[in-house]
Amino acid sequence: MSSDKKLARPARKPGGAQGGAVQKKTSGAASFFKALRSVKLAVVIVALLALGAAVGGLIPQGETADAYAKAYPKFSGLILALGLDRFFTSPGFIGLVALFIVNLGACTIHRIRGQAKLEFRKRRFGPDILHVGILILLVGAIMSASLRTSDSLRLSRGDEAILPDGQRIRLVDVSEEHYPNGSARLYTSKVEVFPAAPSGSSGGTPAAAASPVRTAVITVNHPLKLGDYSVYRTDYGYAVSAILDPVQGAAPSDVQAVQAAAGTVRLYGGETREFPDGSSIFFMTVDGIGPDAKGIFIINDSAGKSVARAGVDEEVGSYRVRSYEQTEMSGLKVASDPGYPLVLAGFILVAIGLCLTYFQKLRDMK
Amino acid sequence: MIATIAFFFLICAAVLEGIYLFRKDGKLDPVSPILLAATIVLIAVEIIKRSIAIQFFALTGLYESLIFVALVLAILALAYRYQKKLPYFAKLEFGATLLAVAALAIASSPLAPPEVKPPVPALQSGWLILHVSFAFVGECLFAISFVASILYLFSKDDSRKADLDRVAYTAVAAGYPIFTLGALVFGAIWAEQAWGVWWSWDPKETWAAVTWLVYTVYLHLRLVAKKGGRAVAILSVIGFLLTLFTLFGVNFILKTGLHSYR
Repeated sequence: MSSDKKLARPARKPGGAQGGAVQKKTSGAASFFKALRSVKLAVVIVALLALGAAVGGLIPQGETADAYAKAYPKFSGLILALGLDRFFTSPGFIGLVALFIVNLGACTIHRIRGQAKLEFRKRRFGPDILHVGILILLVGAIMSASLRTSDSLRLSRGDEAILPDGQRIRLVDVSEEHYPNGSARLYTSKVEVFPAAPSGSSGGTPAAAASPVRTAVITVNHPLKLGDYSVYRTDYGYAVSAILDPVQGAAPSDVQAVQAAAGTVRLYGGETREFPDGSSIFFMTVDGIGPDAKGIFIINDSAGKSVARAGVDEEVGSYRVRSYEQTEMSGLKVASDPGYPLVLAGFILVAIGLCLTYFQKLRDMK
Repeated sequence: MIATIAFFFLICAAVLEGIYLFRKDGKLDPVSPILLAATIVLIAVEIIKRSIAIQFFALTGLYESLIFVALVLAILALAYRYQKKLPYFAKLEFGATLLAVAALAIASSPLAPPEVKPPVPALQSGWLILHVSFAFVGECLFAISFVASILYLFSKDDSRKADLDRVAYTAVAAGYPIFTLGALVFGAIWAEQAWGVWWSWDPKETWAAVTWLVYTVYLHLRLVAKKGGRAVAILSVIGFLLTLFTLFGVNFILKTGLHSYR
């Protein structure tokens, strides 16, 4: 604000309609820029952002229409109509953030130009570094919001998944350690990363035949960094799976035979296995673990959809249940955020700017 | 047991400070600083003891958070008594002590079970210590500004108002960078490491951002006005009420989000 007073006003041009018109135009642009960078406008925008964020903070975000109807019977229509259910991605909020960026950007440019004119010892760049940090942070946040990707994986020991760059990740081991009082002390997921298949090869080299390029133990707070993305450990649990062997002796022309050609399969609860002939088996769950356990399957083949309950050694379509197993699972998240380096740079500048502003203020007070 | 003795000392300090407020000669009580110092030592010992027991800095649950807040408030009350740069108000020291008593009172309630619990895997991060401790220190400074602003709003003397405004502003000016670093910067860096997303509009994050924005308005409004005023003092009060909502309201009223510690 202090630098506002030091701004040289454009000199008035004497007389002449043309000169007067030019003068009016210049002064209009200058006053528009002045209004755009004003601290008063910043106060209004930041206050509106606070108010908006408070509304978004009170109303649960991203719920279904039914959930709002249940939680707010009288206001659910209004919430949905005003887009308050997705407030932070609404045009109103984004527009306000955009106006804030323009205001802060204009203010920062004006301040830096004003500071540059001052004697070195009188310069106070703390607020400018802070403001530039916030601007970089906001650019990073926009990149994060639009470019960030995230996928969830649930793997048992020995399971593999393909990573975004074509590399394969295999879960080697999962473990859970406890404190004497029984609460969780440490969750670990040991993984191996295998190289991407050479381009042009069909299907790639099976991970089992390749050497891992990386072996790592992923724990909460210690993700595995792999170039542009990271692998995070998210959860831990158990999953039931059904081991199915193909039924022998089926006629080659039979649909069941086509399924049987796929060999022994392992199906996790909630997993569907599709076969080349278009048929599929969905393994829903199992009603227990042990010799009497019975699994529930939905078979979809040429005969249509049917539900089957099958115990060990009983048939499910063209398969026979060999066993049901309960296995430890590790939840992993593969996330990539191209905006985060900018966010981090913004945070560093914000921290430097805050400290500098505070200590410069202290020095000025002395 | 240690925290109970600290609580007792703190209540005695508040009572003494309260009684001395009625003295006409303006004399300050000589005992409450000793009681405050004893409280600080006792809470520090309790935190160290708990930290040794769980082999991690004891700042992982509501009880530990509250005793840490009480510790910082007691330190600020004592520091304010002996500092020479700002105008001294006995009522401000009393207010800060009272808030520390309130923090320990909630810590003694069933809302905050005092059991010593080792940290779950998600909390085992150095960023947690930076995030929580910085945020709490900033919030305690906002508490000092809150008390000064309340006194400002009830004061009729202009010179006294100007002094109170200076104290309130100084507290926010010191608290704002610390809160920004703790609640927002360190919190976001930790969230990126733990959850793979640095900002998710989780209710706690959102309300911390609302609090930060309100104090941003406070600082800029004061910049525009060049001095404090009624509106600025009211904003400081609103800011602290939002701080309290961020600390407790999100967990006990909204009951949602990733910051679901109890």
